[in-house]
Amino acid sequence: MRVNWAASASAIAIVAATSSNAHAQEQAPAAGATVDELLVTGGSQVTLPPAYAGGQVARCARVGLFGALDYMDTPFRHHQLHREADPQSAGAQRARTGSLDAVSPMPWYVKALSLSQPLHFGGYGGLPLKIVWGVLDVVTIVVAGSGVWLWVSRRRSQCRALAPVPAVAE
Amino acid sequence: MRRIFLVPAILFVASAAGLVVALIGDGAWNAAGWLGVGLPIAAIAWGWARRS
Repeated sequence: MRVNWAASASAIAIVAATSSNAHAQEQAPAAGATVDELLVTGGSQVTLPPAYAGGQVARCARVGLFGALDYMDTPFRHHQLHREADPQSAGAQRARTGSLDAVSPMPWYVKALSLSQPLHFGGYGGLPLKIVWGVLDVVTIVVAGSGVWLWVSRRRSQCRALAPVPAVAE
Repeated sequence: MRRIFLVPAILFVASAAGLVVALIGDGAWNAAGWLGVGLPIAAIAWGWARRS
């Protein structure tokens, strides 16, 4: 059985292959399947944290958007700590048995965040889309600048109309 | 009202759809994204040429 796990914006996928039934019976307690092999593919920046006793490597950390950070380092640690505090939770189960027995999907806000990053930097869609972005930037500057120009010139003409004719000194 | 806002609404939908489509898809979807986001620029160029 192969479990596809935690795909992220940087297209990192962790594939966990569970062991055969015989192996699982002699090792795994009631917790569930024991992980035989954990294959991580990703950029050179992504390295797993060192293994705990029992072979547990993931430590409830998210290998993905922020690289391989421990769960204490991520901005979403409250979510994770909440899970850890519950003794029945998957994270606590893993800490006790050293096995990967649950996979939690990425929360929706992490997915939304990972989608907003390329939108923010505009680094997708190839060179034509970047050129279109650039042209739209220039158009925005022209619209804003011409608006300020109109406002300033109208103010100037109003001031001239309202200003009293300077009295001639006698 | 509808006559005034029909073209801006079309431009809005086209550019928003172009952004999302280029973000999610690849290949032909990217080309569709270029067309969608480029549509406002085409409208600007057309309006400018007609005015001058």
